[in-house]
Amino acid sequence: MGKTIAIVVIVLAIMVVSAMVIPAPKMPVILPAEPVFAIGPFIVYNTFIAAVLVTLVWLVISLLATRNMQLIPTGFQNFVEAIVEFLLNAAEEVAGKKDGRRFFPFAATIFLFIITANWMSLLPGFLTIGKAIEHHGDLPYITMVQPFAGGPWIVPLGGRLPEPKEETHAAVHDESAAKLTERAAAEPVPPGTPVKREFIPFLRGANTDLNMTIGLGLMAFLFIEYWGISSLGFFTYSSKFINFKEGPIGFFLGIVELITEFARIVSFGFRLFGNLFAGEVLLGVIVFLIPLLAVLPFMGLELFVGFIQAAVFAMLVLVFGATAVAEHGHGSESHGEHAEDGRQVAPAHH
Amino acid sequence: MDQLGINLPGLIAQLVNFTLLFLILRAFLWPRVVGMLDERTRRIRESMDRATELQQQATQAQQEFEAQIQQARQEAQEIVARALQTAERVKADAEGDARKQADAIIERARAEIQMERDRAIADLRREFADVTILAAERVINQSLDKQRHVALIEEVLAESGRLKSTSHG
Amino acid sequence: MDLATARQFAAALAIAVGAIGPALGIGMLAAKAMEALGRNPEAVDAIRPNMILAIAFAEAVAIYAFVVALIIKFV
Repeated sequence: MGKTIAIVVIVLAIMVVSAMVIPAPKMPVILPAEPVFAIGPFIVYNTFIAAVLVTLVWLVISLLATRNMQLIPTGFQNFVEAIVEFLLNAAEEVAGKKDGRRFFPFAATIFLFIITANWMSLLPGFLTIGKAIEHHGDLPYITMVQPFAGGPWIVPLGGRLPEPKEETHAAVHDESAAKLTERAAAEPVPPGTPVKREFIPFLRGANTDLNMTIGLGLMAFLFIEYWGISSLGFFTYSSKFINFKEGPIGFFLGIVELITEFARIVSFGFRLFGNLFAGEVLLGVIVFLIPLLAVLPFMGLELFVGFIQAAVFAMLVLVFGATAVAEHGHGSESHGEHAEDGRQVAPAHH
Repeated sequence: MDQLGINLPGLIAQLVNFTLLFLILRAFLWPRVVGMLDERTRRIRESMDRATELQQQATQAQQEFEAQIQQARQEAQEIVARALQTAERVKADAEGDARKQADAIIERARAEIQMERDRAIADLRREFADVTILAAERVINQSLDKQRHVALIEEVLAESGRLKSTSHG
Repeated sequence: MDLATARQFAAALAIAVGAIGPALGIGMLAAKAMEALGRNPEAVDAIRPNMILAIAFAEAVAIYAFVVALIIKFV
């Protein structure tokens, strides 16, 4: 009991002292992903680097796990098999045996990509290692003046922007800008343009980029439509949306259905983006308030959110897929089945 | 859109990356691991079926074995019973033979004894007759002729014979 | 109130008001799911995915509000 109290006191002391001593970096809320470098006209964003890392991680895992497969799995193969089995069972449970198998590769890829990207973005190094650049108020990747001015920065514990010294902090955009313009004067930039310093992290969670999440939503949309069309045929499938048989109300509902179909791209994309971006901001704010230790429980929360978002995305893909390949109606079938399962179980207990 | 960070090159780049990941996983991970899982499920089901079969066979074999043992035991019991019976019979036979032989020996011995006695009696009677005649001759001094004599003796002997048979019998 | 300030207010209002409905909906959903779980703990495997799914649908409304807020603020 005394031990617990001592630990709590020490933790609180560390938190309080760190809040007073460590100058926490302020967290700017920047929606777009930051460009890190450019290959010719192609700009590489930090979220894209993270996404490529996820791909590389899974490439390595795939090769390692399947290089020398044994019927009786050991170690790493066992681990990967457990993941795949969990996903396969979940897919078969949500979308049924046959459709689950069919939807599995895409849904599982979605799940693995999202969860890996989410959890990876909690690793040290994300948002904390980067470079400081100076630009003239335009978008940085267009007028990147001094790509490595100030050298690479290492920012402690999830903060993003190392502000200049305290005394110049308030004046960063006017007075210190004048100082910076002297350095930037060598560049072909009209003098007098205010210079802004910005910190560009090399790595940022892949799903905090709307390009990524809307891309995933688009991908899911395309796959769902493909599944629907390929199993029902184009005309049967499109008759779900352009419906003349059931009168004007049926026609109207079909159109609503069609709009909902496209709205999924947005809801998929913004759900994932919103959750992950909010998590990132949350961690940044916590670190800004209390630099040490306080962020740990929120990291746990972010682990949970990362898993839930991956699961929700994959599950919605499965459910929408099952709806798309269903013969008639607007897809309450699969839900109905599940609800019925629940009801069947329920009375058995009484 | 720019403010939100949505731009076509970025979108396409991310899509290409994700497609690449999808293709990698579809080429390397899903078919192999799922195939392995299915293979394992199949093997396990197969071996479980075989185990059930083997167990049934084992049970059957054991039942047969037990039946055989039971039969063997029964047979052994029968054999023992038969042997006992035979032994009993042999013993009974031997006893009967022995008794018969003994009876025969006793019978013969009795017959011999009888014969000896008869002979001894006859001898005795003849001698006794001679002695009696002799004695009587001496007593009477030939007062009687021989015929009367013999008759008398016969009479006496008959009497003594009757006497003896009553005492004997 | 100039346009920029009005936009800030509009964005904040969009997400604030738009989140009320989904929040209540998610709360009701979770409450009902917990109730069902309390009544029948064995059905957890049937209840949980359906609950998450329904929450995702309710959340979609909040997401539309979020999108609208973003559009007001940035576009």
